[in-house]
Amino acid sequence: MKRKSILLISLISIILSVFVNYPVKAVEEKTIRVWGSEITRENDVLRELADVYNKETGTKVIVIDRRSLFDAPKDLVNNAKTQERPDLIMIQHADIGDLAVNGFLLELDFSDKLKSAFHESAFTSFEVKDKQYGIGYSVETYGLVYNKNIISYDQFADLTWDEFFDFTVNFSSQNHDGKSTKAFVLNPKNMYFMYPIIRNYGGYYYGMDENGNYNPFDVGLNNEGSKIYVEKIKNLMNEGLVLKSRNCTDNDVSAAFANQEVAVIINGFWQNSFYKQKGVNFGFAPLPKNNDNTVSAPYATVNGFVINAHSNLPDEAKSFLEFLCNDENQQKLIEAGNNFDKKSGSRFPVNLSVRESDYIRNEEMYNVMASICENIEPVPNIPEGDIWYNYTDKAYQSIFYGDINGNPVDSDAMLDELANAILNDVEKMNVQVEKVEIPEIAYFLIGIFAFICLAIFIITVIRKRKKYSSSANRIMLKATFLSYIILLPILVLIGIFYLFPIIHNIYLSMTNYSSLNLVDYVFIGGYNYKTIFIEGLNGFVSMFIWTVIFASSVMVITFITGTMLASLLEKRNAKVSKIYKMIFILPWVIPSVIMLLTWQGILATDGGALNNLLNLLGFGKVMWLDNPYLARLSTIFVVSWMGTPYYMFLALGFIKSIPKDYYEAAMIEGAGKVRVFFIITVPIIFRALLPTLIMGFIMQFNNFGVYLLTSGGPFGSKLGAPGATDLLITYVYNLAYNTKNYGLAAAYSVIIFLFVAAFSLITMRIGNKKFNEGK
Amino acid sequence: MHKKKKRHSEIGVHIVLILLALLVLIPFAYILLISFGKDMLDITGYGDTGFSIKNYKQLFSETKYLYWLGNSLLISISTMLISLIMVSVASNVFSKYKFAGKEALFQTILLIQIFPLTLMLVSLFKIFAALELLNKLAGLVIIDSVIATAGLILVSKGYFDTIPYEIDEAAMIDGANKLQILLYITLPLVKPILGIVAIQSFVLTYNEYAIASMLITSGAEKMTVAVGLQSLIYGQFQQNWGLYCAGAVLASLPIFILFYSFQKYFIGGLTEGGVKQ
Repeated sequence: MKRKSILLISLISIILSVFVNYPVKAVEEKTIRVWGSEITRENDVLRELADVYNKETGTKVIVIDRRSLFDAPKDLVNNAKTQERPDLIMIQHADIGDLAVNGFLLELDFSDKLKSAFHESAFTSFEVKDKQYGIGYSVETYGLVYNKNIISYDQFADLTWDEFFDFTVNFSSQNHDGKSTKAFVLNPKNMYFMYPIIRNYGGYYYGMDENGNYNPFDVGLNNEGSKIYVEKIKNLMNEGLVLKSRNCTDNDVSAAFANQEVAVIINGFWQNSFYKQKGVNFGFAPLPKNNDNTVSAPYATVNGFVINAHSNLPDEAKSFLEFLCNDENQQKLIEAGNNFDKKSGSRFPVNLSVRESDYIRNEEMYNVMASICENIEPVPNIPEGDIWYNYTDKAYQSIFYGDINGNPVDSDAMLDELANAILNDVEKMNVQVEKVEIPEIAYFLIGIFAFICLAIFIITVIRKRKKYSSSANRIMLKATFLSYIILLPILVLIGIFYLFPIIHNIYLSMTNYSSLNLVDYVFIGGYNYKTIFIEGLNGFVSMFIWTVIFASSVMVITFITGTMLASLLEKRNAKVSKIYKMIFILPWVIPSVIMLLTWQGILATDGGALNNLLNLLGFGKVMWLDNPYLARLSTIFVVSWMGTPYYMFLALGFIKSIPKDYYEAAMIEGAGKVRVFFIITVPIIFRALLPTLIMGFIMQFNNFGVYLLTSGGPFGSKLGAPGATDLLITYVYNLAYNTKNYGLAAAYSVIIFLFVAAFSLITMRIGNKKFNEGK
Repeated sequence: MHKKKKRHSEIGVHIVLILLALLVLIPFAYILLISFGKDMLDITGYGDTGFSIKNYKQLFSETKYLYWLGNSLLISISTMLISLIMVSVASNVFSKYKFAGKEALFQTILLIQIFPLTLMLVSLFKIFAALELLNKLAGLVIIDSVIATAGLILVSKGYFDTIPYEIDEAAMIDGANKLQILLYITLPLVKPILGIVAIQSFVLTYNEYAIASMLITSGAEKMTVAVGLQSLIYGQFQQNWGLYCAGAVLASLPIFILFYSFQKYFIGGLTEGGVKQ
């Protein structure tokens, strides 16, 4: 008894410990909260500076280590008005468009003195619609990385792009140290690196108007200049200066350079340690000049600080920001960001005095950066800014490598499709919808509808009870009352966390909630549903079929394999069986996020472990995740692999209950072990596990893990269509992130939900009927 | 003849088991390998593969791994305990009591799980903000318990159904009230399913990523293991797969231990309960 009570007490204290909140001390001094960087060293310096600031002004500053700068916009939207809201936030400049438009950022005004201390890109990158919302801190961009042992800078300094390409073509015909090294290789799918080349020939992403603002309705990726660019790259392909396989990535470019197979590449300066390790004697250089002899402007990302418009202490936040912006503090921060003497980071300052400091000037890489950063083009920070991520990769892949079967694709048509896809999303983002006024009569009708439902319910219940005697009814009433009381906490919790989000989602699906309307979305009635039905559901039916196939296959495989393993293990002796059980729970034990990323690494076409092994054994590469059919098989395999242990253990529990006589009877009739398995074991376990299998099916139907494995799978050349392994849920998720039209995504989710609910209800009715008939 | 057949099938079984075991072990070995590498830059193995335990050391010195592990364990155990209570009570009621709307309620609980939570994150966030549960581990415990309970009620009720009502009636005749029946008679009989509920709710909370990453925004010390590990490879600069895999290996140990201790609960089988099929 004593042990049990000790156990009970310790269990209760564990539960309570999670819920105990330490009382918040009333803070007398003003406290501002800073969302810092991902780099701990930088945050530590921030904290030192915060201490100094505290002594000077009495304002306390809390610096929070952030998981990732990519999370800052989303987290700011969510936390802007909460108790623990941030006041000063470090963020990437490209993310501030939505935030600014929706009023999350405080408009800032910088003194001329401050403005003269920084490069202009620190301010232009944080400007939205001619208003200043933040200030830059560091900039990140790219240039040429070259192998000093193979080539010297003089050989290609001051060339224009065309001259540079000619040079590399001729260069590759020469031989160095017996190894034939190419001069240059590039990854034509990555628009981020290719952009200066596109611009060189006159193409562009979004055009700029007179005020220097981007106009997202002016897409230049299919203009004459872009077409010339495509031709040029195709020429380079013929000369072997472009990655050969359609699935190659920037990693392959980097690896080629690290293995000294290539003399020059376009890359950022963040893989230095990798090259050092491989013993490459590398140097940096700015990009070749434009054909008209102007300087090429690479794309750049500026990290900087913004202030939460909902902050309670905006003046204190502004004052701390200005404190951070003084030259010495900027120096300290930059040095921390670059790991002090190791200089292994790529935090290049925007502050001019830091740029001129010895710390920067004495390092070759930073020196080159300094010249490059005089002319950078910050990635567009408007809300429509990152639409290109969803399309350019696939579009350029088709243009340069043909479709999935290798057949050539008409580039002009593909460029038009690319531009149209981008424009479409821009339009969807900017759709102006009239607010729908809900007439009073609608409330009235809904009220009557609810009343009728309730009346029907009560009437049926009364009718059912009329069948029983009055005393039975009283017992039933008492039982009902008691049951609902007992279940109340559980029902309340399920109601809050399941029902409310569903209802809220239905509501959102009838609003224009999107990145442009994060706060002030209005009711627009069935507009989103109209959009869905008018546009036709882009491959919806085939996606639905695939999702059903996927979920059913996974359930069948996990069930059969799990039961089989259970029946095989049941008969072994205890020790062997224990070892096997320990092994077989592994897939279940490792967090699924990690497992999926690992499998992605194993199955990757180029450089994946499995293909490396096949190469060693003399077989060729297999496109596990890049061929649509194989990708589908792979996803089914990986998900089944992860799910089988669960069913194995469930089956183990039930399998012992099958009376031995059944087996003996079957074996007397002459059935072999395999047949026995399928005739006796499987049906019994199936009946026992049926509820779990149904739950499992629903879970696999909504399995988001697939997204981590394939991001929706190899995509056809039709942009915007679902990929080969896209489940309904991953497609909707992608949609939400393409168009940032969350209301539309909610509408899709509601439709999916209705479909699946109807499907399940019907299946359950049929299943129940069959089950009862079978009895 | 008979003996030969037996040996053939024995060997066949062994071969199948070994092949499957390899299939399971190989990815795990892959993770182990990368965790011992010196400077892994990519999950596909670019980088230096020299052997070193630098990653494991770094885990504890440079990241807040202990915090993450502690947080994960804390919320997983709490969720496990709370789910056990909720599932037992709920299954008991659904299985044994007759009341109005039982079928409808049960099916509703089932059906609302069709709506994927990953698409409902925005709404969930609003709820948490309103309840002031943001950035608190308690919030995670609550939502994970609800998810686990809703998911496990179905299978648990099925198991409770296999216990004949006669036993309850016998106890009631002897004067036990409903709570006593639940605690002293029913629960010991359903140990197998309780074991499954315990493990499944633990694993679910431990592995949960989407909700945990959304709720905990105030810094690295409150993160769970799944979220914390992702931060090692997700940021702007750092792509340290070696650390990531080391973290993954260590993170799987608690579940191993938990599993080992819970084994007897549900491998015991139905025959232990004195229940005749």
